[in-house]
Parts: sequence; structure tokens; C-alpha cells
Amino acid sequence: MSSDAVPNDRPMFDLGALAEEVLPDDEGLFARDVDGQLIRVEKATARELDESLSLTINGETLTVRKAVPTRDSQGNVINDPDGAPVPRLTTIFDAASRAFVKRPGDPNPIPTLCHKEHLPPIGVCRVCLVEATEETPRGRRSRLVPSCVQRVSEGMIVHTIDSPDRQAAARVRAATSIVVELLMADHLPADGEVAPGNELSAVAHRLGIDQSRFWASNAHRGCDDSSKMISVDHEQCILCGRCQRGCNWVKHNEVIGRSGKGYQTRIAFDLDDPMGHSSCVSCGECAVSCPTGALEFKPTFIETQIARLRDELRKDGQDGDIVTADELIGYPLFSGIPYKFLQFNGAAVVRRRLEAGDVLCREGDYGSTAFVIMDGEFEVFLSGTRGAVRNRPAGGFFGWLGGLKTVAEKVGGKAKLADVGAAALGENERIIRNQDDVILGEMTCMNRYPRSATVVATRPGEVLEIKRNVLYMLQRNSVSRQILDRVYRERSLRGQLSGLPIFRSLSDEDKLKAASFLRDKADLVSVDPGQTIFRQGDLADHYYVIRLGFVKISQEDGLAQRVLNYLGPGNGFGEIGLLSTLGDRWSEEFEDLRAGTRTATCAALDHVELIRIDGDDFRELLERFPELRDPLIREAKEILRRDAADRHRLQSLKSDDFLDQGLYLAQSLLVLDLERCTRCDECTKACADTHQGVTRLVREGLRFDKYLVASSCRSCLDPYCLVGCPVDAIHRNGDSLEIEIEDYCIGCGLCSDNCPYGNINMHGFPKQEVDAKGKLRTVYQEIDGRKLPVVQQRATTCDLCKSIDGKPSCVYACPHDAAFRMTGEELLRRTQTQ
Amino acid sequence: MIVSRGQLKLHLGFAIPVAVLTAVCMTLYFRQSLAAGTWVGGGSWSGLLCGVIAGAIILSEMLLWPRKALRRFRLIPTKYWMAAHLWMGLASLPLAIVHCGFHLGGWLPATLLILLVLTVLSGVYGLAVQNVLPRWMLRHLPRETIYNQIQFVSDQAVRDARQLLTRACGRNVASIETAVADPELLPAGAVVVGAVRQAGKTRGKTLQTRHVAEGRFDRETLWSAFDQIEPYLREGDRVESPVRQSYGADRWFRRLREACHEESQPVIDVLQDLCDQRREFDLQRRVHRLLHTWLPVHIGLSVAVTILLGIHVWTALKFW
Repeated sequence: MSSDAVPNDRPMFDLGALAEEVLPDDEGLFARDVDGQLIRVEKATARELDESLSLTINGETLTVRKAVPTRDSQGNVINDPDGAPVPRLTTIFDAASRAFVKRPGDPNPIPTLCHKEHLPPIGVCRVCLVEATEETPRGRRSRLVPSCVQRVSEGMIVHTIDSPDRQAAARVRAATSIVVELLMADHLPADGEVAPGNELSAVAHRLGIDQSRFWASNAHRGCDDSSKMISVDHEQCILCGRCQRGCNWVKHNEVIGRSGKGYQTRIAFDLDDPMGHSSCVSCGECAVSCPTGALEFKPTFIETQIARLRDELRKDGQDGDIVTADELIGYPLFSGIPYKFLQFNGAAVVRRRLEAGDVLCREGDYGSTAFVIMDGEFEVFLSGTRGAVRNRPAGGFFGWLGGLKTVAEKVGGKAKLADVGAAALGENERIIRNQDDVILGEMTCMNRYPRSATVVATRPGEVLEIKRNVLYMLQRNSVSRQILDRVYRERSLRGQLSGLPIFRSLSDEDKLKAASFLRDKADLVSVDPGQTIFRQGDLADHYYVIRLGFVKISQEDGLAQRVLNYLGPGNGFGEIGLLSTLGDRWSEEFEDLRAGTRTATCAALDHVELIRIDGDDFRELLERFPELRDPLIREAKEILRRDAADRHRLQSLKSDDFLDQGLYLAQSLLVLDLERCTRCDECTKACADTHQGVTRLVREGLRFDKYLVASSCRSCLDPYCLVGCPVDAIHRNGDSLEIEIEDYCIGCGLCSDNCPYGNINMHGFPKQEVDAKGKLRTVYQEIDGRKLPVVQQRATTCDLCKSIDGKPSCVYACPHDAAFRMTGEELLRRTQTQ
Repeated sequence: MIVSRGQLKLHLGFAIPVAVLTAVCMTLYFRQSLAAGTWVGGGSWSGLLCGVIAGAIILSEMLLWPRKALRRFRLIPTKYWMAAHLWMGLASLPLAIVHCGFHLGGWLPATLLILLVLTVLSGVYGLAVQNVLPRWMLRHLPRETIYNQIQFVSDQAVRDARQLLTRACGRNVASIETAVADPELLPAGAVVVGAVRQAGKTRGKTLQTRHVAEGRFDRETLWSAFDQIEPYLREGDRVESPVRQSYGADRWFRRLREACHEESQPVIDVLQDLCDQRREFDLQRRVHRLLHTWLPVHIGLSVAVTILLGIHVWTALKFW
């Protein structure tokens, strides 16, 4: 670029002009984006997601896609606004992982420090160097490249430190060793004592390096002990940026950056504030991400967490031994989980021993744990019916006076949830699980719905009960994630097929036959909130059954769009378009329709899982089981008749706001009848009195007719607040609806941010730590000569007064009979019948 | 406590037993009086029975106080307490009157009876306003908020209005230094504004990000108008303002509309809406007082009745 091209009044670094003026070759493989950050010049295209290439790694030839879908830290595919996956180029590290890491615990031939597969690669540490040989316009060329950011190319030959080509392996090993030794010289403690889980030390050990050949720098960057949870030792920081990406990219807290330059460069919190005085929310992600001892959990914090968890186990009357981090790291399945995470969640894994006949988990119960099978055999019982907890009139005198009680119900009448005797499978169809199946009970953790089966030990066995947050950590590792995805899909379909709504007219025997016909044909599809499943006028190609979540059905009428209905789990849709293509007789029935097209638009309201049946399979099913046809036609005609009648009304379902506000998910809304409510605030006062002076409801919110939906936990069917808690302090257990937040909440505020309705609040509570005797004691500090407790933030939400007796105080204390707990659907019914 | 058809079960559960008890006691009293040929006094067995029951009712009514203090304990749902309080309280008056033998007697029983009548009347007044005002508020105060949050919501409305004006016509020249100090305004070149929105039966505030526009000819007019209404938005009817009364506000805003650019009309709509909201808050404040100020009077009278009842019992037993 000539200097003449830049006018004098232009800034030295004209970002606007950069995009046009920088050519791909100016900075090798990289260029700068508008923020001046180094980025790859080449961008993956959607086409490359389907294109393959071959390369050789350590003598093993493999075929990989040129690009893979970009995923977030939990392995969810990131889609663009049109719903198509955003592609990213396949790197050498991706290819090596695919080729050599088949099972959890398998070693990757490429060591890494700054890269983890759940984080975007930045290629700063250069420990993942490999020798890559590829064809270039100037002939065959070998280079040492960082594998975490280097894309694969056709015919590429890659050698790692473990390559069978000894000379190549030695070259790579020498280069990597230099990098590691330089890092060791400055960042490993001089006394050689490293904490367990130090990855720099582990890499050095793997490369056979005992001691660095270099002198340590004289520059000192100091320590920061201001946080009550994490100690920062800048001396050990290798500036790999994992903490920064964990904080900013995984948790979106945007607290960690960098300050200083040269040897004085270090991580910084906010504007280089001490960690304890910054806006850090203490979620622990930075320490969990740190590969060295730069960010460590303080021992008092770990001990306090373990003490609290032990108390919790004791209080719940649960048996089992806590499995320590040191022991867990030895199991292959957990080897991908950072040691510090296991330490951070000191009692997140419990070993349980079961005798034959012991029940591991019960259908209908809410759960927040999964079970890794270590030994034994387990039988799975499915009743195929989902339970629910409802408020129903109480019996006796108070029932006569309008009192309510909470009961467990399932479709078809009252039932005891989790009834083992409700198994609906024949002897020849017993579902047996053992060690080969790896895990059990994971579905409730992944979809936050109640457990879908009862599991009973058939002989003595042993399981590791793991909390939801450990499962989330497993999902960050692609091999573990594949195992979890596979079992989830298989089990989701298995439990649902014989209970499909279209099979209602079949006998039990035919239902099983029909389910067996669909077993390999049905597919499980996940749909993001707001995503359109199909549009009105599209070609009808599938039939769908909702497994989880809610779907909105709407129809366009001119410019206006009318909501016709919303469907919940267990409902099917999409059959009308398919039925209208089934020959003459069917065409007669649907003569007003354009054959084979959709009559309405269907979109997901929340996270939806659908069982998808291909149109051809659906038609074949109707051929094999003709008794399905008439009921289907009747139902479809009824839907069309209703739609036609609704067209004459402005809005058929007076529930746009109901859907917009997510009330369809609510299982226990606090609703105030404003005609009765005298605004005396007894509900709020009673709530505060019950919960140590902190109210968990605000008598303000949306109004529906004469009802006010107060701001209080709604006990959503799919509670978003449960997602991502770093210590699994928020969960739902047993057969009741309440969301529990345990005392070991670390106050990071993630659940509060996740709740779309603002019903989780952060409050200050006296901080407690374990003393020398292992007892929890309040921590005090002296301010202006006064001894005051140290305040720690903790999340609070309505627990439906489960901690008292399960009768919500707000309803109990209302003197005017104006406060109610009801489901969203009941509220809709009430407002529509006013 | 609402007495309506929807709560018939709740009320009948207490009203019928109380009515039966009262009727039985009074029947006994009238029979004895008929037999005696005169209204028998509190010393007669039927008069005493009525007095004892009325006294017991008064004491049990006072149990609402400790119940309130022990809210966190499960001492039967409060609605049952209130229904019982209502019907038993009403029954205590006729029982007390027949206990007196339809005479006021000395100063102590006379004071006691008058206080009891006042207590019951204050309770009946409370019952009446509780049955009327919540419905009235529901219909006429759609923007009502939590009573002790009125000031907070009003301050928020002022902030919203200020941001709206910034969006519509640029920053206030008079207070430009303050605006520069606001980090949210300048770097982003946009403001977040809140407005009341009604969709179907739902009403609430929505937030929108809008870009700041500078330099329209009506900037000074709008800011000057805002300076005039700001004290009212903050303090309500405690300050004099041209928008304090609804009809005056209509006239004032009409003149403002005439003086401003057409593009500023939506902003003026929002300003007028915020003034309407403030007027509703003032009304809510007054209605809230009507709805709740009877209670301290009722409680004061109840305490006085209970104390005098104790003295009455003591003197009656002493001079039996």
C-alpha cells in the first residue's frame, strides 16, 4: 500500500478502508477484521459442509468434511438467522480428534494448552504444533503449524509428536518442547510443586521434560487474593486466554481482559481492578478453564462447598459415598472434565450401591441427576403416561369451604406417580441396561422434564450418580457428547412410538406392531424457540408428533396472521397435507385443499423435540393399518371445519399475549383476583416472614382480564433457569413442582439472567465458611470498628413453601380469598369464560 | 373481605352456625323476658349467657392480632379467620345489646356498648369499601402500581420522558452538560425509551432503542414544556401544575401540539399519557387511603373495647 493512497487527514489505522485494501496474502493465512483482530481470511461456505477431503495423520488416512457446523460450548449447532448451520473450517486438531479419540479417555496425539474443543481456537500457545505437508502452487511444502487453527486440505500429510515417522515426530517434539520449556521457565512454580490438574506440567511430563533449560524471567506480575473464592497467581499465568474466553464467550460475563505489555502482560478484571472488587460474579468458569495454577479455587471455598453438599445429602436422607476429584479423574468418562471443575463441585458425584429390586429412579419424578453404570444390570419400566401435579379441591370441611390440596395425576384419572406396576411392556420386550449402555437417567437432566421411566436393579450393582452440571461438562467433549446424544435419541423414540396419538384407534397388539414398523423410520428432531417447522403452502413431506415443548399453529389470512391453536407434548400435526394426497377417496374429502400442501404454519414456541415420520412411511402405515384412516379423516375434517369457522372471527384463540408471555409453560402461576384483592400486601408480608425477611414475590405483573399474574416463580414445564448452573444449586426434585435453590449457590446470577420472567432475584446473605471443626460458621469483618457479617449474594426464588409444608404462604395468608395458584391453561380458561 | 356469590360456601360455613347460635341465645332471652314481663338484665341467666358469648366473641376476634404476628405458622388459612371474624363480629353486637337488657346502664357499660357499636360500624364500613373499591380500582385505575412504589415509578416516568425528548428533538440545551455526563447517551447515539403499551387485555411497559436526533425547531418548546410538567410527574397533586386536572391538561397539551412539529406529536402523546398515569397514581393514593385508613380506627376501637370489657367483667364479678 503506497503512502500516497492515504490522505493526510485519515487516521493512521483506517479500519473502514481495511476490508477492501487488505488482500488475503498480506498477512499469510490471516487478516484483520474491522476491530483490528487477527482473523482467518478464508471463510467456510455452506457447500463445504457437504464436501469431503482425505488427509493422513500419523500414517492413518482419513476422510473428513471440509467444514463442520460451528457449535457453542455445549455442542449445540449455531444457526444463522435463516436456520442454516454456520460453517467453520475443519482444523487438523478436529481431524486428529476424530481419528484417534474414539472413546472417552483416549489420548489425542496432539497436546494442547490454549485450546479446548468447546472454545473458539486462537492459536496463541503453539503447543499443538504439528508438521503439515501439503501441495502448494510452489510445490510440496512442509511446515510446522498450530493444529488448532490450521485448516485441513486435500492430500495433507500430518505428523504429530506420536507419529510413526520417527524423524518427523522428533522434529515436532523438539519444536513443541522448546515452547513448553519456555513456558515452564516462567510459569511453573520454582519449587516444582504443582497443584493437581496443572496441564502445563502434564504436557511437560508427556514430552519427557523434567526441567526447563531456560532461566526464569526477572519480571514479577504478582498475585491477587482479593476474591473470596478464587486466588489469582499472575506468575503462573501463561496468557493462553482460556479464562478470557470462558468468561466472555461461554458465560458472556465480559469481565476478563488483558493489561500491560511485554513481560508485564497479564489478565485483568474490568479496568484492571482486583478480582474481588471487579464486576466478577464468581461463576468459577475462569478457574475451571485455567490450565495452570494461575486461577485456583481457595481451599476454604472448596471445603465449605463440600460441607454444604454433605449437609444437603444428609438432610435429604440420601445414602452413598462422595467420589472425590482425585478418584474421578481416573475414570475414562470423566477424564475430559477439568480437574478443577471436579474439585469445584466436590460432591457432585456420589457412588451408590444397589441390591436386586432397588429402585434407582422413578417415572414422573423430577430429577437433576444421571447415573453412570459401573456394575450390575437394570431393568427399565415404561408406563407411557406422563404425570402432572395439580391443585384440586381438598376433602372434608375445608374442601367444602373451597380449600385446595396438591395431588399427583396422570391422564385418565388419579394415580400415584412413579408406579412401578404401570409397566406396559411384554416379557419379551424387557429393556435391560448394563455397563455397555454407559449411562441411565440422563434424559431428565437434558430436557428438564420429569423422568420418563422407572429403573430397577435386577442384580447387585453400582452406579455413579452425577449432577446435571457434570453432564453439561461431559457435553463439552465431543466423544462424550456423541454417546449422550445417541442414547438420548434412542431412548426418546423407544418410549414414545407405541403411544403416538394416531394409534388411539388400534388395539394394544396392533399398537405394538405399528410402533415396531416405525422403529427405524421415525426420527427425533430438535427445534429452537421461534423456529418455523413448516409454512402454510409448503409441500407436505412429514408427519410430526410433539415429544417436548409447545408448537404454535397459525394461518395467514390476507396480511393478518391468526393463531389457531397451540399444541403441547403428545399431540400430532401435519397429517392433513399428507392425507390429501392419498388417492381419489381422500381427495374427495379434502376437495377444497391443494393436495399435498400445508394448510397452516407451525412454529416452535420454546425448545421443541419432535418425532418426525416421513410422508411415504406415514402413507405406508395407513396402508398396513387401514383402521387408522377413518379416525384420522374425521379428526382432520374437524380441524378444517374449526379453522373455517374461526376465519369469521378476528382471532380464534384469544391468547396472543398468553403465548407471548410464555404462560402456556406455567404450572403454578400466582394469580390475584383484583376484584377481591384489597392491596393489603399480606401475601408479600407472609412470603417475607416465611423466608427470612426476603420476599420471593412482587405484587406486580401482567393483567389478564381481572387477574394479575404476580411476579413469582411459575414452575415452568421447561424451566430455563436450570440451564447451566455451575454448581447445580438450582434444581427440581421428587414429584413436586418447586424450583429449589440450595444453600451452596455461589451467587453467579446465571439463573436470574436465564429466567425470562424476572422471577429469580439475587439477595445478600451472611457468608458462611467451615471452621477447624468442620462446622459452618458465619464469617465476620470489621467495618468502622463494628463487627459485621460478610455478605454473599445468593439467588432466591419461590419454592412454593416446600421448605415449610408445601402450602404457598401467599395463598395461605390472603384474607380475601384473592390469591390462587393455577396453571397457565386454567388462567386462559378462566379469562375466556369471563 | 368480599361477600359475593363466588364465596357463598366460605361465608355460609360461618354465617349459618353464627346465626343459629345468635338466634338460639336471643330466643332464650326473649322467652325469659316474656316470662318476667320486662327486659331482663345481664344478671339473668339468659342475659349472662348472651354476655358471656359476646365477650368470648370479642376476645376471639382479637386473636387476629397474634395470628398476624405469627403469619409464618400455619394457623388455619387466613380467609377462614376473616370469614369467622366478620360473622362473629356482627353477631356480637345484638348479643351485647340483649345482654344490657336494652339499657345503657352506668358510664362503664354505656361506654363499652357505644365503643362496641362504633367498632362494628367501622368494621362494616371496612367491609363495604373492600367490596366496592377494588372493583372500582380495577375498572378505573388500569395503571395502578404498588402503593409504596408510586414515587419510584414516577421517577422512572420522568427518566423515560427525558429520554423520549432527547430522541425526538435532541438534548436540552440548558442542561447539556448533564447529558454529556450520561455515558448511555452519547457514544451509542441512541436512547432506550419506555412507553405504556396495551395489547389485548395486557398492559405494560415496553422498552425500545431509538436513535438520537438533533436540532429541530421545536426543541426549546418541548423542553420548556417538559420543565413545566416535570414537578407534577414527580410529586403529583402536591404541586401546582397546568396538567394537574384532566380538562386543564387537555387544553395545555392541545396548545403544545399546535406549537410543535408534526413529528413531535407521538412524543407529546407519551408525555400526556405519563401525566394521565400520574393523575391515576394520585387517585390511587386517595383511594388507597379510603381503603385502608379505617383499619387503624377499627383496631383502636377494638383494643379499647377489649380493655373496657376486661374492666366490665372484673367490676361485674366484684359487685355480683
